[in-house]
Formats: sequence, C-alpha cells, structure tokens
Amino acid sequence: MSIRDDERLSGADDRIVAGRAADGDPAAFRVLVVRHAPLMRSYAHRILGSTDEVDDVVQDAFIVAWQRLPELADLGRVRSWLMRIVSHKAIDRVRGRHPHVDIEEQEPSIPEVEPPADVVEARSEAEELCSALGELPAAQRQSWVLRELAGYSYEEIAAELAVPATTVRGLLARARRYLMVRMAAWR
Amino acid sequence: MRDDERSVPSLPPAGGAEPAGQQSPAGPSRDAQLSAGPPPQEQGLAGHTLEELSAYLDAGRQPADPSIDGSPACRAALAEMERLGRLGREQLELEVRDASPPGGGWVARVLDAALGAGPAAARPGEPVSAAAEDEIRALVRAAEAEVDGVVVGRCRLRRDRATPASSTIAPGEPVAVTGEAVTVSVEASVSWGPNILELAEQLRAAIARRLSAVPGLVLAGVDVTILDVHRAPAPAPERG
Repeated sequence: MSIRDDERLSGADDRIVAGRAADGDPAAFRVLVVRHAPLMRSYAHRILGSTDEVDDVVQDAFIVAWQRLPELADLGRVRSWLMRIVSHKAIDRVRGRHPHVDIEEQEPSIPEVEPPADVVEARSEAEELCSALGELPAAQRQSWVLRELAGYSYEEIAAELAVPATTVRGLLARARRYLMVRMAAWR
Repeated sequence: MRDDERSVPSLPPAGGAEPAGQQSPAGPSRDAQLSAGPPPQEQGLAGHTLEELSAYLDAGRQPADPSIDGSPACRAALAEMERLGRLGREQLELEVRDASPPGGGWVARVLDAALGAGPAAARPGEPVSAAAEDEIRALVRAAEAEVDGVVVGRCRLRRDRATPASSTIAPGEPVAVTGEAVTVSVEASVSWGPNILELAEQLRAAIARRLSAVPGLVLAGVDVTILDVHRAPAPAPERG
C-alpha cells in the first residue's frame, strides 16, 4: 500500500473506514487499529486494574472485531462497538484469573497513614483515583468503570458481569464509598 | 451545583448531625437508627444509605426525593460521587490524548493475529462467492485512485432481481460464470469542494469501467452514495 493510500484512509471517518474493513480490506482495518488502540488500551487498563494483560486483551478484541465487522449494522458506531468488545474481553480475562470471584470479597482497607507531602504533590488527584481503582475488588471496579466511563445501565452491567441487577446496585455503592473515603484521605 | 457545596466535606464526620438550619424532622427514631449502627460514613445522610444515594444518582435524581434534595449532606455526597466519575472520564480522555500512537511492531502483530484467525464472517444473502466478491471489491476500491480526494467505504453487491434459491452460487464458484446482472452500491467520502456531484459521477464511471473488464460479469448498475465530506488539508488561515 502506498503512503498516499494510507493518508487517504486515515483522513476518512469511521463509517467509511469500518465499511471498507468490513469488506475485508486489511489496510482499512489497520487504520481502525491505529485510531482506536489508545482508548482501548487505557480503558482495558481500568477494567483489569493493572497494565499486565492490556496488550493481550486489546489484541483479542481486535481479532473478534475483524471477524464480526460485517455483522455490525451501524458502522459509524464502530468506536463504541470496539469498546464493548474490549470490556467483554477484559472482564473475561479477570474471570479466568480468579475463576471463583466472590462478589462479596474483602473490602480493601483504607490506608490510615497520610502520604508524605512530597508524594502528594508529585501525584495528581486523577492519578490517585486511578490507583484507588486498582485497589478495589474486581467486581466493584468493573461496575464503576462500566457505569462511569462507559455509561452502561445497571442491566447492561449485570449482563456483562453475570450477576443480578440488584447486586450491581450494591457493588457500585461500595465502589463509590471506597473511592470517596480514599480520595478524601488523600486530600 | 452551587459553589458552597464544593467545600462541604464529601461525607459528614461520624455522628455528625445536619448542619444548623436543617432541622431534622426525625426525633428519637432517628437516634435509634444511628445507634443501630449504619457504617460511620453513612451517618448524617438524613437517614439514607449511600447505596440509596448512589442509585438515586444513576437514576438521574428522578423521581425527585425532597428528603435527599433537601439535605446538604446528601447533596454533598452526590456531588462527590459525580465529581469522581467526571474526574475518571477526564483522566481517561487526557491519557488517550497524550498517548503515543501504537508501535508499528505491535500493530503488525495485532493484524497478523486478526487476519490469521480467519476471514471475516460470511455475508449471507450476497449474490456471489466470497472470493469473487473480494475480487470485485478490490477493483472498486482501486478505482478511487482515479478521482482526487475520494475514499471508498463499504461496497455491497446484489443481484439485479430476485432469483430462485436453486440458483445460489456455490462457494468458490467464480462470479464470471453466472452471467447474473449485479448491482454495485458504494459508500464514499469526498473532499469538500464545489463539485461533489461531479466527483461522485467520476468515481461511478471509474468503477463501471474497471468492472467491465471482469469476464462474464454483467453489471446492472453502480450506485455511489456520498456519506461524508472531509476537508482537504488546506493552508491555515492567517491570524491577526
């Protein structure tokens, strides 16, 4: 593929590029990978709670995407479709890691010692939130990420985590309680 | 959110009462509730649990509950939950914005893994075999090179008219032998300009010309739909 073709494709919108990838054009699929990988990686990191398996999860998501793109009805929404696939893959990965995840699993304890002032200054509040997320039990973290970062409804979260919707309500509340107390301690 | 709510601590201190001026209607029963031992962070939330507030927030604070909306402590807790969500979204956005593009090696591995995992799903109901389709689509995409500023997107193939199921083409059978009339529908993006219709017509003609060279393919028509008009790179306007 020439540079010129690459430039043409990179400038086109998602619907055009995804349509072409759905037709089996690897060059167009490559543009989708380059365009959406950064968001998928950051997002997978938050669901997983660490960066360890981010690469594998995002790669798995793109394998599914390549095979199923022809089934996607609204190709202009390829970005949110990719986010759904990567959510699913990341949650699967965590489930594989802990096959018997107990949704009542132990709450993390709030660090009681205040961090030294220089540590506080060195880290932004946003970074601290990211660390705090990583400390949450998996099901709580996933509920919070799906709700706050991806805008899922309780029913959608329940389906993704394979738990009743009433459980989602409790998971979200516990995640929020931990984050509020944890961030207040940091401030 | 009012400014003064920003400074309210995210959660009232253990055993904290409603701030002055917010006379709680609850008498002894409320004290009993407190001593019954909700978690310390949930005391002072006008008798509500954090779980109730969390669900209320996600319901868009509907239907309105005056006992929550009227409590400064509840409002502060809701504001803090909301703020942390917003902080999380902003941080995600910033991280993605500042991320370096994925490395070429990683992209190549992903492409190898995806393409190696098998072909894209079959496209049921399409008139020609996958191999012949791919060949036609490649010709359609290649036609964009003849027209400046055009990018071809999705390309659909259909028979000109319904045909009996018995005439379905077997996989692998080249389209060339069917003699069926096929209509090609193409979505495309063009660069902004005064001659969008003309560009669409040039693309249509280029596709038709290239497909006419396929032996045995009877072309019923080529439809071009312009989905998107992208701006061609232009010099930045002068600023005073």
